[in-house]
Amino acid sequence: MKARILALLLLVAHAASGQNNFNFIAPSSGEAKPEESMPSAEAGEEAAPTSGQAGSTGKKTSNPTIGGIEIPVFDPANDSVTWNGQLWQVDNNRVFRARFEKYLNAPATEIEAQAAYDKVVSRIMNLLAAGNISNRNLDEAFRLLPQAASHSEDANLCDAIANQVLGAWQSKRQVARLDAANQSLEDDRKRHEWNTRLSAQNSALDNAPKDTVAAAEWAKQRELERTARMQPHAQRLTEVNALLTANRAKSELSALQARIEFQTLLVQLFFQRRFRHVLIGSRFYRSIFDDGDNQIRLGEESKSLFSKISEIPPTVTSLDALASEAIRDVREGVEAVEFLLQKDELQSASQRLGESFAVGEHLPEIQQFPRADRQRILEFTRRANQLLSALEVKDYTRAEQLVNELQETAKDFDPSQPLTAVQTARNVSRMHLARARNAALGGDAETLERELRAATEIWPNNPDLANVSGQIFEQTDVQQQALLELDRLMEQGDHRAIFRQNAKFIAATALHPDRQEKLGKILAQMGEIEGALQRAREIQQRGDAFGAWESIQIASVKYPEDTEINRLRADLASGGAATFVQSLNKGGDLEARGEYGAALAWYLDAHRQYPPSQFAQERIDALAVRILPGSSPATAQ
Amino acid sequence: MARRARSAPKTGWLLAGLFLLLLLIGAGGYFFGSSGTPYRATPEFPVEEYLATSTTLRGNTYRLTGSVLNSIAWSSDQGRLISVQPQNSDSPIPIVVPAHLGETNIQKGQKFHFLVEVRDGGVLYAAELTKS
Repeated sequence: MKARILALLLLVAHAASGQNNFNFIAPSSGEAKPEESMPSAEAGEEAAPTSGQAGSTGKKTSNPTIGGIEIPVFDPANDSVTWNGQLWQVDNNRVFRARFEKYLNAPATEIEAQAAYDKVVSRIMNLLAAGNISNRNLDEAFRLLPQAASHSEDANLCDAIANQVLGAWQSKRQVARLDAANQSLEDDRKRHEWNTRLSAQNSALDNAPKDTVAAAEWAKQRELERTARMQPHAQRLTEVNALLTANRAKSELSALQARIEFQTLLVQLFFQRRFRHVLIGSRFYRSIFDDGDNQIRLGEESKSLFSKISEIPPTVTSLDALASEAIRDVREGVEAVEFLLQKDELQSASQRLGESFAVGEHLPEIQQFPRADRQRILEFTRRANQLLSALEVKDYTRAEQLVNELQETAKDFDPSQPLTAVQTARNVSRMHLARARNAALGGDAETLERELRAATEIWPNNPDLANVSGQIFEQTDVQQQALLELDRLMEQGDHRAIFRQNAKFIAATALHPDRQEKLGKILAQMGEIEGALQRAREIQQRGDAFGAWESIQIASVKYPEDTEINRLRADLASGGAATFVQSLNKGGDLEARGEYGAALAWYLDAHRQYPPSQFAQERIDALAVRILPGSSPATAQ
Repeated sequence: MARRARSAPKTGWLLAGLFLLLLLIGAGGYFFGSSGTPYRATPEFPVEEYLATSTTLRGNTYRLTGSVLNSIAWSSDQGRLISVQPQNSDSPIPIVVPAHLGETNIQKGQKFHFLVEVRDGGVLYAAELTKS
């Protein structure tokens, strides 16, 4: 029943206040698409959308209209309304929430002012109650209407009722005047009918002649006389009949117009959820139009809608009954709210008060609801609205915090739905972040971007998002810098620097095969060099400076640019292996000058100092062949 | 007492005789030994100068006395390349002993007197050699 009443209310709100003033509900989301959701109202079978969200799909049909203005159609299955091609969530949209919060936060002075107005309206309703109705009370109630209209809370609706009552009375007086005129015309008509009948009768004093020709002439003469006598009466009779018909039509039209205007006002008041005004108006209506014809004359389409929703024919009486039912329903709803508040069940109390507010916003039960209780519900509602907003904007951290606060405030608050949403968003966001991290490691920029975007869309304020993004970008930056440094060191030939940071460069070149190949060769060379250095140092540590020099010299021939080799080689050449190196060098110089004999002497001197010397032995053998071509080594050295 | 007086003059004579003998040996060695070193008319081989720049010595002939260190290479027709430790230097010097001088056995550690010629490339060729 409440759903039907609400549907009618919504219908009224729009029809009465017009499209621009229809501010009771608003789209729950800007995503609503007019062409997608237009459930059928006329069918009576709500083509309910598959979800309660705005913009959900539904059967595309037209809503009924009143005076060319589309009527919102309520879908009780999911507390939604279709209007203007959009689906509106009744109790879950920003405008409703804002209006409800405004009501909950109304100042005490506003509530007190409402009490004075309610007192006048209650007095009027009491005077018009079925048991108290009388001409005197009717007049008294009529006089109180302007007093009620003087309160701002009335919105001059009582003035509108008073004007309509006055208009109806005037209309009735006009009908009475027309009835009196018709009575006079009726008398006139009867008189002319009598005269016409008398004129039609022939005179008995004048007899017809016996001659046939003369008799015919006499009869013709008499007929002409009779017609002449009847003609004025017949003409006047016709005129009177026409006036009577016109007056009857005028009378009926005047009465009908007054009824329709009054009914229109009542319907508008009902749709504006001004139920007490409906009761006041309907009782005035019945006292004025006391002929028992209470049928509301709406268009066939609207009448059909009205009867299908309310399951009763659209009469002033049924309108009165629906208004009374709405008032009763709101009263019970408020009582339920008070009971729930006693049990600290704020969520249910908030929902019930919201429903009652939606139906009976202007009723005293709602307007006089205690301010302290409103504040309690306001506190809960504000947090609940913040929770909805947090979920809407996907601020799941804030949403979780609000869920915890709501749980503490309201015993009946069910956190499972919001927490599930929060947890789901977190999990999905983390999954995308993990994929983004893997993509970053694999150098898959496209996947990285896609996954980061997905994670951002799911949970824009996810604290992990900034951390992971920072790490990825930092990692990417480091990788790029490492590649640039590697290129620079390769260009400089500083393989040792590359070798020292090999881990960094190996990681950086993982996705660059060309660089990876070059790096591999460099690191292999450096491994060899490091091996030679290691061996040379070990030999040096054993006190064999000549052997150490020879070991490092072999490496330096292959890698003349390596700084470590050159440094160790220089250290040995100027230190423990100085005389040996000097002999070899002098031998080399002389050999280069073609002084093979002296060169051989120096090589022999080097060999004397370090008999295992490979360098000395090689040069000795080479020069021996040069000095004695075709000779062979004489003995083992 | 009598026996101690008879032996003293006899020991003195023996010591004097021994001193005289050593004196004669030394004098003989001085006067007759030097005269045994071959190639005395040829200048001593300048080891240090050779090691520094052998080209200036090219075409010259020198005498060199030293011990054989090693045989480096051998050729049946060209002879043997040996290293010699000069008497007055630690630096080994390579000397080619031509094949026609091969009749002399040359072994490691033997001391020879060499008459050497400095040829192209500063290579020393033994013109003659005498076992010391």
